[in-house]
Formats: sequence, structure tokens, C-alpha cells
Amino acid sequence: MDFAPVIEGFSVVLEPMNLLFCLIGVLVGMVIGVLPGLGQAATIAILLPLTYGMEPVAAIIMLAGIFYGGIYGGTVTAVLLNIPGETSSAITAIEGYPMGKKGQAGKALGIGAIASFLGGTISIVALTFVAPIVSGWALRFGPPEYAALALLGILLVATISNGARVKAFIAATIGLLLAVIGRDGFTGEMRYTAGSLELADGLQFVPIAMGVFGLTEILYALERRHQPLPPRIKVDKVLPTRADLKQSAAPMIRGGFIGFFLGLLPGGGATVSAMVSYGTEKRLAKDPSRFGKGAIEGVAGPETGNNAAATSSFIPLLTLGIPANATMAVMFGALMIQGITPGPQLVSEDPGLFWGVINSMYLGNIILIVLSIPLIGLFVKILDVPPTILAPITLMIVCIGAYTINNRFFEVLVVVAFGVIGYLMKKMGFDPAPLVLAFVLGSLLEDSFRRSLMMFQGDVTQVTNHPIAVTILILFALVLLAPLALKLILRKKSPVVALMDPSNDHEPAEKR
Amino acid sequence: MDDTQTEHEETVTSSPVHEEESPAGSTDLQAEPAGTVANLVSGVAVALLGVGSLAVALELGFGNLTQPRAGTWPAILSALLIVFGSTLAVRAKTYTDAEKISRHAAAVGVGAISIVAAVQLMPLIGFEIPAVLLMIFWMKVLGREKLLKSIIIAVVTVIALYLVFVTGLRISIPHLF
Repeated sequence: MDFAPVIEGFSVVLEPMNLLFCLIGVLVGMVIGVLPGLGQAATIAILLPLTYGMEPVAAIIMLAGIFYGGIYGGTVTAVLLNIPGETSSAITAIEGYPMGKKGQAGKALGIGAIASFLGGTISIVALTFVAPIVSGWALRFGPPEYAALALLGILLVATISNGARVKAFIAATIGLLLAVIGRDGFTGEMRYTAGSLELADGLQFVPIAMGVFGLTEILYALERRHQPLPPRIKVDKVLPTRADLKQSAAPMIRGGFIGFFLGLLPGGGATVSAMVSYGTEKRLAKDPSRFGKGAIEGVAGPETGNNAAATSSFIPLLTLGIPANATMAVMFGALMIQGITPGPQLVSEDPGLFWGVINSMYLGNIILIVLSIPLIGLFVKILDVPPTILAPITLMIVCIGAYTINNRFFEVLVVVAFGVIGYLMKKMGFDPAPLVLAFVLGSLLEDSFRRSLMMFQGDVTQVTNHPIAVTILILFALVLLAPLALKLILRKKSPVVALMDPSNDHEPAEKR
Repeated sequence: MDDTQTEHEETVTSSPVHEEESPAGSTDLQAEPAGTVANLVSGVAVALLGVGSLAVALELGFGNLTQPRAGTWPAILSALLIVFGSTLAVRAKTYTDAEKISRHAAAVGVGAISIVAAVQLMPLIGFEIPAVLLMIFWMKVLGREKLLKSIIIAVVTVIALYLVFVTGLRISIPHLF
């Protein structure tokens, strides 16, 4: 492998201005990520407008910072308030919150930071080697392969999401339909625009994401504003002891590898990794009864896992142009705004940019650990601000950010509309994530589907001439039918495997 | 598939965060009927949405698989919506993951409308004043914070936003000052 562009990428990323942007990104990412209820996708969506005026490289570096800062923010609320910012942090809360109640909050957060850093590093290093290989291989993809892959991605996200599958499918289908709005790329006809000029170019992804992830949470919290928050746990020493590190070392390494491989799959990589890591640690522990009451392995393993998975889920995005989950969908939108189209051609046509993205991840990860440990006390103070004050402030940031998308207020109204839609969806038990992901993939899917039909001249059976596409479709069918099979297997192996069953989640309710 | 869903939903609704949703004194048993109605309504609404969008799609022209037209894809999606929506409506009883919309939810509607109102004013008098008013509204009226505290926080926030977005990032949002 040619290492020259990798090294070159580093020299760009290490320029002082870019370092500064990354720093700002991590700080801002942590601040927003720490706000209860706002998950990683929301954090990135809300902070996206900050990157608009910037150069692509600087913007990406800042985004990497926001990405890592946001993940960590979710861990903080999970440990201190038992409110996970992300579904994957829900696992951290299982052990982290009891640790906090025992006065070990600092330790939990410290180990969480180290674990996150390790997970990210393992993943980025592996990514450095794997990504170019996948890209090369993906260059052979044509419309049928892309159509199949997009379908698989949507199905996997729908399967992993909270709530009933039918509802997730409905959310995804609506997302696909929303992508139709606007001018048809093939025929130039206006579709579903109702004569509106603003809709002629279709709905933009960013306001939908800001609405459905950000404003929905704000509105949802509004309904429950008069309920008292659980008392915040005090944070004292943040450094774990040598003994803690020794205890956590093996779980972290295991978690890192579990996370890397599971994160490659489109779907809820980070969440599944955290769950599998937790289950593994509990099974391997000498004294499993400690779990549930504050076992440090239960924080170390899953935190490494979910960071590793979050990072490796960049691979399908960067190499295939397919976002693997809601967060990647937002990153996809972010890269598109910077004029970068992620896909197999990226590594060959613009290696400087490709490696710039990956190297900024190294940087973001490092800055995160450098900042998180000393500054945790500060971020925790944010949680003391009552939600009735935090909400309007976040709201204003969202509104102004939304305006900057197209320099008009229409997008702000779109944010409000989707905030309300997202709220209703949430109340009715629909997970908004499949909608967002399907929207992002919608144009790709329709495009590939139509091109495939034209290639096959209407004869769908011709897809058998494309073995990769067929393989992916078989995977699709398997995933569709898997729950039935899983149900039968799970019935026999109750407790341990039940932990790995995504439908058995513990007290902290998942929030996005 | 039924079992997977109900198992999933039971776990979701039995988590402490969701238990706070039911008004004090109501039992889980009371939450279920609300669930059935909510799911029935959702299902029917989705199916109707599918019917509506199918009509539009067919107007655009379905063509056929050899020659797809602008309406082909949306028609397929609409058909799926009708199927899924109907499935949801028919099996409404089996889902227990909808939350009751409590009377506190009125705040949500009011909150959303307040944002829209503020946004209508912004192109006319700049973003600062409607932003301050919106924030005061959310803090004082919806959040029941003290008036003076709300005003101070609102003004400070808007000044900070001005400095970051207008002075710093130089975005072209209409501003008065």
C-alpha cells in the first residue's frame, strides 16, 4: 500500500488552523452532545451549519471533532443522569450509572474516555488498511449492486431500530417518498411539489435531520418539562487507577475488535457492538454478579466497542457512498455540502481528500481524550442548567443554523414541520432514524432501480447476471426473515443470549 | 413476528422513563387502549397517505417495468404504504409502544406555533427581536421561569448568537442592529 498520501494527509491535518478547528469541533460537539436527549446524529446535524463557510478540509476536520465530541457527550449523560444520549450509550449506563451512585462517576467517565480513544484508534488504524481495499473492489459496482446495497442498508436500520418493524418500514417508506419530492432527474417533471417553487429542488436533508433529531427532542422534553430530572451525580476524581486500567485492558481490546467488525455492517453497528461486548464481558467475568451494580468492565468494553463501531461505520460511507446508520447519513449530508461525494471513486480520484477525512479522525480522537479528562467538570456544569433554559437556547441555535442552509427561512419552517412530525412519530412508537436514512438513500435507490430496469429492459430476472447484487439480495432476504429464526433459537438459550437480543433493553430508555 | 413485536414493546413501555408518561393513578391496563386507538389511527393515516400519494403518482404516469416513468417509483412506494398502514391498523391491538399524548402536549403545539410566528417576523424586523421574544416566551410562559431571569438570558443569548453568526461567521441573516 502506498503510504505517501497517508503521510501527506497528516501534514495537512496538523496545520495549526486545522488543529484549532478540530479543537473547536470537539468542544462544541461535547457541549451539544452533553445536552440530554440530543444524540450524535442530532449534534452533528445541529452543528453542520458551522462548517458552511469553511474550506472542505477544515470543515471535515471540524466535523471529525464534532463527531467524537458528540459520542463522548452521550456517555456523560448516560453515566451522570442515566439518560443516554445515544442508543449505544444505553449500555454504558447499565454499569456507568450504578458506578456513579457508588461515588465512582469520575472513574467511569475516565475509563469511558480512555476506552473511547482506544476503540477509535483501533478502528482508524484498521480502516486505513481496509478502506482502500473495499474501494477498489467497489469500483465494480453498478446500478443493480447499488440498488441492492441501498435496500439492505435501509432494511438493517429498520430492523435495529426501536419499535415495531412495521412502523420502522413505514418510516423508511415515507423517507423514500420524501426523497421523490422535486424535479425528476430522468424526465424533468415536477413531482409532489404542489406548485411550490421552494420545493422544486426537493427537500434538503439537513433541515429534516435537524427537525427530526433535534427539534423533536426539544418538543418531546417540552411535554415532560414539569417532571423533575433525576438528581445529578457529583463527579470527583476522573482518573482511573492502575488497577482499574488492568481490569479494563482485556475488555477494551475485545470490545475494540468486536466494534470494528460489527460497525462495518450497515445497521446499528455501535449499539449492537456495545451489547455484544457487554454480553461477552459478563460471560467472561470471574464474578458476573458484579454486573448491574457498577462493574468497570461493563463500561470499558462497550465504550471501546461503540467507538470502534462508530468509526468503522465510516467505511461503507467513504468507500461505497452508502451511509450505514443515521449518524453516517448526517455525515454523508455534511460531506455532500462540502462538495465531496463519498464513494468508490473518492480514494482514486481525490486521495488527498479521502486521507484527509481519515486523518482528521485520528486527530479528532486524540483531541477528544486530551480535552475530555480535564474538562469533564466543566461540561458537567452544563447539566446543572435547567432544561427550561437549555431548550430555548438550543432552539435558537437550531433556527439560525437552519437559516444558513439556504439563506432563507423556508428551511427553518421545514425544521419545525419535521420537528412536529418527529414528535408525533415518537409518540406513536415510530423511530425517526429509518426515515432519515431512507431519505438520504432515496435518490440513490430510485436512480439505481430505474437504471437497473433500463439495463435489464424490464426483465427483472436479468439480475441473476450480477452475482454481487444477488448475494446482497440474499442477505436482504435473510435479514428480513432472521427475527423469526432468532426467536426460535433464543427461546432455548434464555439469559445470556437474551442480553444480546436487541429487543431486551434495560431501564435507561433509548433516546436519540 | 407477533411475539417479537409485543416483547419489544412491553420492554419499551415498562422502562421507568415511559412509565412517567401515564397520568398519575392510571395503570398499565389503561395505557393499552390508548395504544390501540393510537396505532389504529396511525395505521389508517398512513394507509390514507399511501392512497393519496398513489393518486398523484398515477397521474404522473406509471408506465411499466420496461419503461418506467416519473410515477413508477412513487407508485410502488405508495402501494407499500397502503400495505404497511393497513397491517398496522388491522393489528393495532398487538402494539403497546405508543405513548399517550398527555394534556401537557398542548405545549408542544404552542411551542411549534410560536417558532413559526417568530420566523414570520424575522424577515421584517431582523432576527434579534423575534428571537428574544421567542426565548422569553419559551422560558417564561412554557417554562415558568421568572420574567427578569428570562429576559436577561434571552438578551445575552441573542447577543452571543449575533456575535458568533453575524459578526464572526458573517452569515446574511436579516438583522436590525
